[in-house]
Amino acid sequence: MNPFYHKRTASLLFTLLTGIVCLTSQQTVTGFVTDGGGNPLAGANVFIKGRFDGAATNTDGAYTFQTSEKGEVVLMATYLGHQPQEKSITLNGEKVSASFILKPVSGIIHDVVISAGLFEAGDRKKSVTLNPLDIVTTPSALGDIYGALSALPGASAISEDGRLFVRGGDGYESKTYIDGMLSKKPYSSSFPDLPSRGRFSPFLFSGTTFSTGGYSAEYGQALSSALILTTNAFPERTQTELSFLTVGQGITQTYRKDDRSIAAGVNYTNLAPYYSVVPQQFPMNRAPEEININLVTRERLQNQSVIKGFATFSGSRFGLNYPDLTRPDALNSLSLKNNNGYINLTWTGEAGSGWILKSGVAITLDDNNLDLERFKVEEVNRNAQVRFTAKRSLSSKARIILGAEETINYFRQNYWEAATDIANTSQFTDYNTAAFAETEWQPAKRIAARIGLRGENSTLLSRQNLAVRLSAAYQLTARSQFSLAYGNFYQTPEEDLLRFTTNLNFERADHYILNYQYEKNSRVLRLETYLKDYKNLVTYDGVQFWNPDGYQNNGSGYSRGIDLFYRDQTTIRNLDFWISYSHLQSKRFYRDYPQKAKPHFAPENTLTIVGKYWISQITTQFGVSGTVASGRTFHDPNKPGFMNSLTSHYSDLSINCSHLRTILGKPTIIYMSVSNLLGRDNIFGYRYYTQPNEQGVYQRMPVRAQSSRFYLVGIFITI
Amino acid sequence: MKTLIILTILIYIWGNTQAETPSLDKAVSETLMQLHTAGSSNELYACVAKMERIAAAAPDRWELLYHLAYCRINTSFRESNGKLKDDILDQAEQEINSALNLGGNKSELLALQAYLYQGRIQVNASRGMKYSRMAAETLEQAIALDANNPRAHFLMGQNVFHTPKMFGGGSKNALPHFHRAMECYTASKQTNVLSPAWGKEITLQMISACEND
Repeated sequence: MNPFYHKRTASLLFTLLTGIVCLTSQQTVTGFVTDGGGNPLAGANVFIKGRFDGAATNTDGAYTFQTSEKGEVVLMATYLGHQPQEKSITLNGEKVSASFILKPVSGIIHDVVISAGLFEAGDRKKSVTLNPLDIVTTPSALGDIYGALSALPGASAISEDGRLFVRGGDGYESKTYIDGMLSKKPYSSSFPDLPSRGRFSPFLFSGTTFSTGGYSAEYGQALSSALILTTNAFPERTQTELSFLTVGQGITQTYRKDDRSIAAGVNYTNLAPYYSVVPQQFPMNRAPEEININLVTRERLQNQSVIKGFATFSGSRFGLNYPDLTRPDALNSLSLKNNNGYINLTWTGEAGSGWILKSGVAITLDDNNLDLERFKVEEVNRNAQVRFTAKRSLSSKARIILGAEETINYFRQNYWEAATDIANTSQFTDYNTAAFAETEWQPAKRIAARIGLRGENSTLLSRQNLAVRLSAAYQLTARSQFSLAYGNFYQTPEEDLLRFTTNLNFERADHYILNYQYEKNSRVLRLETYLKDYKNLVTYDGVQFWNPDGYQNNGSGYSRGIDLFYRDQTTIRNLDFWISYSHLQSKRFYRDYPQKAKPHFAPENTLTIVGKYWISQITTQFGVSGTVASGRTFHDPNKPGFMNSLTSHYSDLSINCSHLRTILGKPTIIYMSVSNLLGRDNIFGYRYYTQPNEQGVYQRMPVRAQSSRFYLVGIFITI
Repeated sequence: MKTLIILTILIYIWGNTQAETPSLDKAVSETLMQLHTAGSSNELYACVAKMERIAAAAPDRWELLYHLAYCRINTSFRESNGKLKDDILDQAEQEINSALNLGGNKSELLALQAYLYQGRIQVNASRGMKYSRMAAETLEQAIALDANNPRAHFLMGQNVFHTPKMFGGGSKNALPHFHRAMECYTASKQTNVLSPAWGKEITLQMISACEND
């Protein structure tokens, strides 16, 4: 080889090498990363895409790094819970500065959410309030959804009834929706003064949204409150669950295969053995007995749409001897037979161009046979609802929901009176058609607003209504926000009124709510103040209750108050507790009230504390709940005026414990609870005899629990 | 001469493209080293950021998503804010799913998913029953796919170790899993520098912890 060539090669290589050295000379890239509100994001990652050169931002949101890249490159910024952002920059040896404003992925971190009136809960929304396990482990709830909700602010503890009484509203003013569909008879059938329970097991639901007012236009026909339950998604696996309780047994078999699952269960409840050990206030001539079967199916279709099916059928019987209020010292033998069925079928899928469609059918079948010795009442209720909704995001900041529903409600009552042999049948069918539209948008980063309209037509009443629902939230800081809500709520009068006349209008309530919420590290503080204005409540003459002309929409009323809620899951390790306080002032003129008065379901103050402490060494959770509430009004006919007296205050202390262990290699939960541990004799009100005694005094009978304490022991096994 | 110039340029170009691969390996192993020796949570977050940059450079490599998710899970264990823990794990879960979609090693990715479930328990002890069962089931699947996956055995051992004795857990019952994991670690040869390789040292530590218990 020619040495000249060698020289040339060497110089060439030298040139190339210096070139490489030049290429690797460093230059600086700096800038800031902030969120939309101008707050610095610390720990955001800024780097040149496709290269490792980059840095994380410091607490001021500033970053700086060196790179040897040249020319046009893509600079990328990422931050947890925020949409990544890219920027083209040119590196030409000079210092480059580039700043980013990252938008949150909606719903992940510190998103502004309208919270007025809403108690939302689910597996992921831990900090807000209750998940299914919270419900089951609330001592005073005894495994009942409605019992657990009574431990939240806004709900009054009306233990002798068992239904939800929200912010001075009557029990009928709260409705339950399952996967968006109406559940017409969510409570078990019972006699007055004996509490009913929810028909559905809390374990069926993954999400519980309890609205104490101001809720979305998606829901109607409830003056006070909507309980929106979401059934579980696909079960995790094939399994068998067994339960043995002091009050009954149950078995559920679940099959899961790929995109299909089915679960079938049978539960049998009989309180006879329990009553033979724990004496009851009134003799039971037939202890409550119930058999229930249920079926839950899930299927994902080829196009990824999901069909959820849920069906439950139950039959229950019970009877007891109860004082006859027309004859002192006499007992009537009462018996109740109830057959109930509920079917709920929904389909959710996509329809292209971003529309999410949901349609569903819900059917309630309910038959009650009451034998009150001197009267016999047979009630048949058939309710079917068809519903269709379409949802779509209009932009990253706005979405819209449109929907329509048709509800058919058939009611028949046969009534027979032994003394006069008078028999009467009343029956009617109502077709309620509703349509709604609601839009939610974020006009600014810290503001969210929702505007909804809902219109309804009832064929039975020949009336229409149009309701406006407005709400808005303003985020003060990353952790605190204010919400406001206003809305009109209409409800068709109850069947027990419509059986006398259908010449009535919808009852109406207007809600005004102001809410403040502060959330930090699994601690939540909520303060809410509200005004509920009732109009068009149905009134009638209590003496001539059979006279259709006496029924009018003349009633009115109000509720106002403050609800306070604090939940803390952090301060003390393994302790989760909440404090709920409600102050309520309510008066109304409705039904057979002769004048405006405070109803018996509106105690002025209610304070509830629930605490749960988990001890991992013994895998046991202990729970305590305590409630103190002001006395409730009742009408004493021996005194002048109406609703003129107040009971003594209510108090309850309940405890429970849940112990987890394996028995024969199977995970098992052993559960024990005692309600009203201190055995306080709570008096909920008084029933007065219809006739005065010889001294001209009306005698009375206190309304109290069937037994002061209730004990429950159960074993739950999963195979 | 022309040939020589072309050759030199080719070598230069080849060198440049090749340079990326060794530096990718090096960057990953350096970051993992930093992760395992990190003292503060800030250092952990810095590792996550670094791994994220590495993963973004080669988005078609499932191993990088694996390491990124692994860094996140480790970071979540040290994070004290429960909500943030969950958010970090949500992000890691997405990365595991993306790695599965890229056709990554399913046994390793399932084992990592199980590790993630164990991380979920740290948020709230009452989740223990649910997530330790999910972790155990996922690990069984991982072992069914590759009986010699040392990390699946190690994590199964961890699952048993942290389960109360009355549930069939505790050190005595965990030990066989750790021993099995150790056998796998000894027998395994790392075929690819980027493949998951962690866990041997902590397995040894767990064995001695179990034996001294």
